[in-house]
Amino acid sequence: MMRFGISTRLWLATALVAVLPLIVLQQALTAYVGKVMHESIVDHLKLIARSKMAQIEELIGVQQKNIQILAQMRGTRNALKEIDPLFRKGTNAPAYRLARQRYLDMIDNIGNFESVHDVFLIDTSGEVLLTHMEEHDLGASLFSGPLSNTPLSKVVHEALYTLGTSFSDYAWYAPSAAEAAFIATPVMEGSHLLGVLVVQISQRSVNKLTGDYSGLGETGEIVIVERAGDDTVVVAPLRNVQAKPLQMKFSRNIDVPMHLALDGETGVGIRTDYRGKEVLAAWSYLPRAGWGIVVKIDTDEVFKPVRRMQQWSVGVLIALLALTGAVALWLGRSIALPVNVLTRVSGEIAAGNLDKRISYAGNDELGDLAGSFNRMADSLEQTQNALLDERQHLEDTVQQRTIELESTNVHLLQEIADHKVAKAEVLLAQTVYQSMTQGVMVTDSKRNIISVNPAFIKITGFGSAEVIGRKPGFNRSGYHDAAFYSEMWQAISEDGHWEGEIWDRRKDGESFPQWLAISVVRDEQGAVLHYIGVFSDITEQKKSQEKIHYQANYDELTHLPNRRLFYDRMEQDIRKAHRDSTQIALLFIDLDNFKEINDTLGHEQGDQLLRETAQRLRACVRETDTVARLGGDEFTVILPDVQTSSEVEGVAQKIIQSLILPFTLGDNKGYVSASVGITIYPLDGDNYKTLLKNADQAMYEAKRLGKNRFSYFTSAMQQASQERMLLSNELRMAVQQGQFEMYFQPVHDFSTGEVVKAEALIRWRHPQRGLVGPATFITLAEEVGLIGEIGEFAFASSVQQLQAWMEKVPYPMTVAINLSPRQISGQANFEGWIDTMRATGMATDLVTLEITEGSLLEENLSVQRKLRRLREAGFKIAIDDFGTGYSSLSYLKKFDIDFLKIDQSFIRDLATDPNDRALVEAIIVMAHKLGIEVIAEGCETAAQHNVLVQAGCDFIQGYFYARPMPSQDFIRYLGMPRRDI
Amino acid sequence: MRPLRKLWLSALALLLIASIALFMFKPAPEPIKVGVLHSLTGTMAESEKPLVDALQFAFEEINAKGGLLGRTVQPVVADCRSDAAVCAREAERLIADEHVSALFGCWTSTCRKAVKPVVERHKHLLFYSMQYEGMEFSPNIVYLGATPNQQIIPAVRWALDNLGKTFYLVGSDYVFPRTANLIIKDLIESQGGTILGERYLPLGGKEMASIIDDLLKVKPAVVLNTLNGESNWAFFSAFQRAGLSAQTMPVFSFSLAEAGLLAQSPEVAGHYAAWSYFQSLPGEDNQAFITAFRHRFGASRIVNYPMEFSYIAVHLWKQAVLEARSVNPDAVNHAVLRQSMRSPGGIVAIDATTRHAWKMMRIGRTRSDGLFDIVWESSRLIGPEPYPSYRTRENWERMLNTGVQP
Repeated sequence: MMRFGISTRLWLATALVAVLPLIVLQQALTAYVGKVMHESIVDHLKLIARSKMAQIEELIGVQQKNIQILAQMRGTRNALKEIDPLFRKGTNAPAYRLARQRYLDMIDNIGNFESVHDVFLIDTSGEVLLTHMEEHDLGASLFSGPLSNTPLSKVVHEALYTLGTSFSDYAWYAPSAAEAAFIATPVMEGSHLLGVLVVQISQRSVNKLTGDYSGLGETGEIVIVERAGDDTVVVAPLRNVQAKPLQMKFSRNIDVPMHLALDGETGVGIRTDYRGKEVLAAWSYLPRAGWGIVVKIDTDEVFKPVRRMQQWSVGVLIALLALTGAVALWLGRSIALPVNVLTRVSGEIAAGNLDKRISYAGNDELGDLAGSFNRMADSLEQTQNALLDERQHLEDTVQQRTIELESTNVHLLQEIADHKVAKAEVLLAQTVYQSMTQGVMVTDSKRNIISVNPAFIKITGFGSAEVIGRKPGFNRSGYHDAAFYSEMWQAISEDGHWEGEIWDRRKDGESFPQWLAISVVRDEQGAVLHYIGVFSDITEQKKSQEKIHYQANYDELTHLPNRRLFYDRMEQDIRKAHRDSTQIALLFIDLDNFKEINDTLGHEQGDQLLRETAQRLRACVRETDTVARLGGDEFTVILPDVQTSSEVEGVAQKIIQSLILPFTLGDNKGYVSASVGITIYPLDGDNYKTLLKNADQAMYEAKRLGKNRFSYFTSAMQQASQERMLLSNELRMAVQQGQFEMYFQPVHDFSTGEVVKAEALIRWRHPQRGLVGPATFITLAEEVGLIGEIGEFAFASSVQQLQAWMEKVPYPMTVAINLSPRQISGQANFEGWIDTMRATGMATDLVTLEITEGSLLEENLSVQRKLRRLREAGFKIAIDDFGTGYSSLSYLKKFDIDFLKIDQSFIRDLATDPNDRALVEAIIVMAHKLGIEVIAEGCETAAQHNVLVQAGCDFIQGYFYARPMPSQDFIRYLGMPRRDI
Repeated sequence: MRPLRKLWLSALALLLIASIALFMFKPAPEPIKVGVLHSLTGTMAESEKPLVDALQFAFEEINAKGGLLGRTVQPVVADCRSDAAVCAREAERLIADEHVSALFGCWTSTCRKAVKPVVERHKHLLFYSMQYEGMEFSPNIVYLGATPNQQIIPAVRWALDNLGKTFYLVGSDYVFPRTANLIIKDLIESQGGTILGERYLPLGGKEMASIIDDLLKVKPAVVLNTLNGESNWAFFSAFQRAGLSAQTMPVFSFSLAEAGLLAQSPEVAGHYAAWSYFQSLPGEDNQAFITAFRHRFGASRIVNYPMEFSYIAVHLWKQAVLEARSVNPDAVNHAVLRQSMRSPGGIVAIDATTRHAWKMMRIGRTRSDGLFDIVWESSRLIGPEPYPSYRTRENWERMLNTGVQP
């Protein structure tokens, strides 16, 4: 029978029990995590695809809206009627030119036609009456002749047939010598068809659709295709392949996702793309344009994390298996080994080798046995060693005595030599004093100069006769204050010595730095005999120090702070931010493609580019911010004391924008872009090393996402940034789809108790989030420039409701509408508002516009002019949140304000805080003196209400009466009996 | 081995098997209930029953492929009895008591307008597949049927160009025919045509004598027909009995499709209809669809536009459920706005802004076998304009409120 040792058996058992479960666990875990990761990657792509499609949809949607609005304007109808006869007399006739120009001016004033190449007016028989570009399609007939088979001809025909807005394919259009797509809409007067209005979407704007690959990594691609006959053609430029639009064709037989998209299917999955590569693709059909859109990323890239996870888990498995094996082996050995050792050593001790010990010291029975063995061997060995020690001690004592005697002898000889030397030293000192290059000044105990050496005279220019008898300090530079000197003398009297840098004056009046050492000479009793000052002129040394300092801290090429100074500044800023609890943003900037410039144009041009980059960066930041060059094409920017992320993003954007502009390098132009990584102190690290490292990492993320962009280190901030983008997209959608509603909060006239006003408050009915208040989206709307459209809606809708209420109540109702400062400084269509009011037949003074205090203080002349215009047109003006900003009475008077709204924060503690109460009373009295009426908002309790009434407040608004409500509820509220006060 | 140890070991093995079984066993998931709202009795039954079959067919197709989100789909069919009020009550019941995830149904606009407040109150979801007069937007309805610019307007234009300039309007007396005729009159009069007469019958009415007399008297070039349900049968038989025919006086119908005409005698050949789908469309997708449908419901079955769009509605709903990973009506309602699909009649895509569908538009002429020859087809998908863009929405609503008796 085979014999298994103890260790082999243990090893086998342990390995079996551990290995099997480990493998099973690893397999299950890998499969599960892989599935979850896979799903989240797919979801991510879906989200990106959806946002890309929304962008593309928007380009067309905006133009559709524009053209429909334009077609319904009287100006367009008139233009068609007017131009038709003029056109017959020739398009060069002055009358035609004039009418044409008037119409084009009108279009310019209306819409955003950025992505439009041309605009057409076409009559019902297909004759082109007017175009903006006046290409050779002007005057042509679309239903016969060379243009009869163009996309323009088809789209006009369809618009005439369906009386609806129609869209063409994207196809070659000879008159423009470019590809083009057209949108056409009928122009009608009542049910009478006058003609067709067409816009031509420019090739440039279609090409731009696929330009933005953010979120799509290195291999992501957006493919836009349409059908041309039996083929599928690529509409907009691709990222991976250079091809002219519409030149790249694919047969329907190839199984690629673009065909699915063109079949009208929507989906996401792993497919093979036109290059034959495996990709994760999302596809969708865009009915307006008739386009299929595929957003895809190579699976190699997108599933890399999954593969990495799998490899990692296999690695861990192998490591764990190895560990298990090792433990099992160790366990087996730990039992078998000591037994062997015990046997061997006890044999040797028995043979007389007393210094042998059992090296095993385990805390178990075997260890105990080994211990007993060792103790026995110890006691044997101790007896033997005691004898040997005694002999050694005796030898040591004799040797030490000999050394002591020798040392005494040497000391005596030394003392004799010293006496001889002292005499020679006095002579030597004299010579040194005369010939040394440092200046020396000796004073008596009263600090009168009694001697100076030749070097003193040479350095200062003063002769010895001029200085002897005077006090040191006769030639002070005046650079140091009295405290400096008194500290110096204190140090001398306490320590007997002082040393330091000091500025004095030469005889010719020039100041110079010197390194001065002052010592006190005392007699044996300790009384002061002399003061001796020794100094050297360190002017030259100083100069070279400064140069060294500059070289050490600044980059020679760009004159920006270098890495070292950057660290210094960073540390300083961090200390300051820590003290003041502020935040710092660190931007890490790396130029994309710099290496190519260096390689192709040479290092000299590369250096020039870096110099100019430095200048541009400096121009992008405040004086107090630090721009540094870390080396190569890496720069950093420190922005201390930042408050909002949009502030940081603003600077980052500015930098990216400014670096994308071409660089003039000799006779060439150089193009680079910048990738910017952003970290925030204290969010992303509390020391500069971590912050820099993380910013560097964020910069790589920006590169990875496609360069020419910025990225945050913190995923939360990155997410917030993306969230803002998403929200602003949704907001844009909301504006298009009219997801806003107006709520109204009643304002009561305190003297009659009637509801005489309503404040209009906007709400966003978000498809997923439900009803959203303005706090969430107004700031964003201001940032992304949607505030104008939202404001227009608020105004139009409020005025419409007002008109409805007028029929319900016997006395005049008024409505208050909030105006954002951005709305005023932007391109708000106030003239349109005045027209709207005129059209409704209601007096403008039924509408109060609520503005913030800040708007009044705005220095911008156009803002002031606009406010005055509104005022003159009859709108009432109220100051919102009064008391929270910096109002000046003179402004209230100057703008002839009608109402003040006291901010809620004063009302809240009105009943309990006498200060607030006094303030509110003062505001009311002051306002009344100026002829201004006062509205209190946020009144919630009867106690607050009483105080306001006693203080003489004119109007009261707040939950005490009612919350903001939809218009129909408001009408019901108007009919309800008034609450008893 | 000692008996005690044996006992322990078998107990341990038993425990192991039990726990594995417990782990593997999953309770069968509950089916997804969906509501079908159509008239199985009354004047609309003949038109609407085939739609229930089409819906049933689509649900069975889904279940045959493993259901949705691991659950089967179970339609709950309610009979609207050709009465809008009954339909609204049934909708309420399906939502509140049966807890359905979506509703499919309604033929007439009256029915839809009655169900609309119910689905809006419950923030639910109704798929409506019929062509209608437009001028409506509900955040809880997906309108798959054609709007006027996808059916009536091009059809009238085509009739003016190809059939003649004098028209006679016949319709059932409710919202769709009234509004449709409003638009039709608008168009004809502004494009040089003449209206020789306009007559309405109560829904389901069969008294044709005076209309036929009138037709014989004024002799229009074209009759534009917006009659619904069984009135069509009565109209066409009276039409033929009076000796009128497609050669002298073609009838252009806007609410009558294959199944409807086939129920008539085959001599109706030559009349016209405008739809985005006809059974006779070429293409493999359509052939496969018809074959499968007939395999399930019988070889002589006809497929028409409303049926195809009922079928499409279910599939768009299915796609939205898959995308939302939920059958919650609110979630599906949001996801459905992004859907498009390849259907037997070509691509159908939802327009997120209007909640209507992009689709093809075709004009067909009846053959003697009751099917249609396609005589005109749009060059690409036509976008929905529920409020035709040549007037503002306010303008349309004002016109509706003043021009039509409610």
